[in-house]
Amino acid sequence: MNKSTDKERIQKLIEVVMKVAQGDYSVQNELSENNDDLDALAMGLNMMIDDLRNNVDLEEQNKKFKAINVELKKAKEKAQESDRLKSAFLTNMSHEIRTPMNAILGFSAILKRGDKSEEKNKKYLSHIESAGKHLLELIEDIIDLSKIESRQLKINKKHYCISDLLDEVFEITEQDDKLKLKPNLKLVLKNSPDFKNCFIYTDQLRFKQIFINLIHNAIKFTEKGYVEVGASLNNENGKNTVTFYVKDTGIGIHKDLHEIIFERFRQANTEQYLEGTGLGLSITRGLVNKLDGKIWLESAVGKGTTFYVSFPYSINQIKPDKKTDRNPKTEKFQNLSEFTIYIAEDELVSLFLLEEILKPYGAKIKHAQNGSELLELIETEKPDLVLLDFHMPVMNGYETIKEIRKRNYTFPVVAQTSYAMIDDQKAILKAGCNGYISKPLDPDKIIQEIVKHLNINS
Amino acid sequence: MAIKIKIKQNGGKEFLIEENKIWIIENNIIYIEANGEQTVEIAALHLELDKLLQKQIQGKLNYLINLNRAGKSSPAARKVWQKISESETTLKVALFGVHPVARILATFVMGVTNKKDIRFFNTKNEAILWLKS
Repeated sequence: MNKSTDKERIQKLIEVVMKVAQGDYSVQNELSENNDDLDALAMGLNMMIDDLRNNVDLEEQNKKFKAINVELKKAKEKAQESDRLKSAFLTNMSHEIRTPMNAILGFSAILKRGDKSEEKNKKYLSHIESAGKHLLELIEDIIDLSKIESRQLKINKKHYCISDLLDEVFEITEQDDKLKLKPNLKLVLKNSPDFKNCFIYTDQLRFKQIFINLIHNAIKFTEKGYVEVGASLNNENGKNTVTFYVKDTGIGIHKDLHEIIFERFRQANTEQYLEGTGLGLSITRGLVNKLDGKIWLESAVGKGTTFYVSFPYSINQIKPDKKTDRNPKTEKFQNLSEFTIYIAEDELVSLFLLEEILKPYGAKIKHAQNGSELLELIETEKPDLVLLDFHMPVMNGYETIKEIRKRNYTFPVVAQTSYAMIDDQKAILKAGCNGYISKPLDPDKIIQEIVKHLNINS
Repeated sequence: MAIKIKIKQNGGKEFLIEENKIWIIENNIIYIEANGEQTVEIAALHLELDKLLQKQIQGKLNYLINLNRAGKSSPAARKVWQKISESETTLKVALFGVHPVARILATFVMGVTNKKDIRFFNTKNEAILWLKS
């Protein structure tokens, strides 16, 4: 054992104390076996260093716990907010579903009584149709949001003329039912010849959806004045940008709500119920992001709102892929009496609807309740066309079309189905169908599709 | 290697926890000869032994702790000793040691507890007399 002098031992104690003073809590004093006062001092210091290190560790842990607590608190608040919003959403959704259902069931009951004039009956039917379309829009909104959130939204981009897009959005939205009910409100389009040579690379369907949503919102929240739709061309940092805008003279939005109105289930006015699910702007922002654009707004309560949406654009150097798709026109009346159409459908109401749609055109109709029955029918007599449901018992649509093509039958098969996702459509066409129509069925579209595949229109 | 309580062959009255030797003396005094550094693991085993002895010994337990060959006691170990000394089943705790290091060790152990019946003595006899008083 190295016998140090007391002075040397004290010097070592001082060195340890200095290291501790500099924040090094890993040091310890060596003890002699004397068990004297200096050893007692060394032992005491060692235990105090341990205590200090312990306290520092505890402080570090406390900091971590505090940070975790802050995160937990935020998560809890978010969960509570999400819960509250979901409840509000369900309440709104219930209202949004019950309102059109009220019209559908109520007017259907009146029609069933059969004691009204033809003119009134037509009016009731118009209400039923309108309510049905409203319900369909609601379902489409929910599906869109689901696709955006699950990153399953498919985008089909092409080059489109900015001026044409503005014209088309305007043409669609000037037919808005609510606009017709507001005589003091004007929808104004500010298109410019400059836009004729400017093109954006976008998904036409989703582009229109964005602006139809924004314009419908503007109309909804503006009683008098105007809703103006336009665009401006800018060049920022060498990049050409087109900024579309939808400006209204409506109630405006408080600046505190400028961000949260884009969140799901939100509406700017949380105090009173307003028509709508609170999904529109959330979907709109999701679509803008998906199209690589930006969306923002300027608004103040009582002073109206302007929504801006910007996208990159190019000038005159691109030939547009094609003129934008306008709404297809209804075909002229066709006589289908020479044709036999088989309908594979297990739902009797859907079958009845199809029969009623086809009846005025005179087609001969045969019915099968599933794919297996359809194949039996085909074995006895070949049809000119098949309308095939996909969700059927015994043999579903996929199995049926595969079997039809396997047996080398070449007659056209048009899917009429509730599988309405883009992927469903692709899969159905890939399976061998010639056409596809999603339910709810539009009678005009059904006839157009049949005529197209029977090759009788040209 | 896991530390265990070893019961030595002496009618179940002698134990070994690492280097610490433990005896039951005077019917209700647990005499501990603390040897070397006192870690939290060792202290936890003393707590376990305490529970075991509560079943064997009638009435409250007294602790007599020899600190003459003890090393330092970690902060976490002192917390466990606080628990043992403040337990309802513990009556008195007497620590003893002849040299200044033992006194320092005792001061740190006593510093964490609010128990009134815990004292330091220079000799074992003085400590036993107080425990039995």
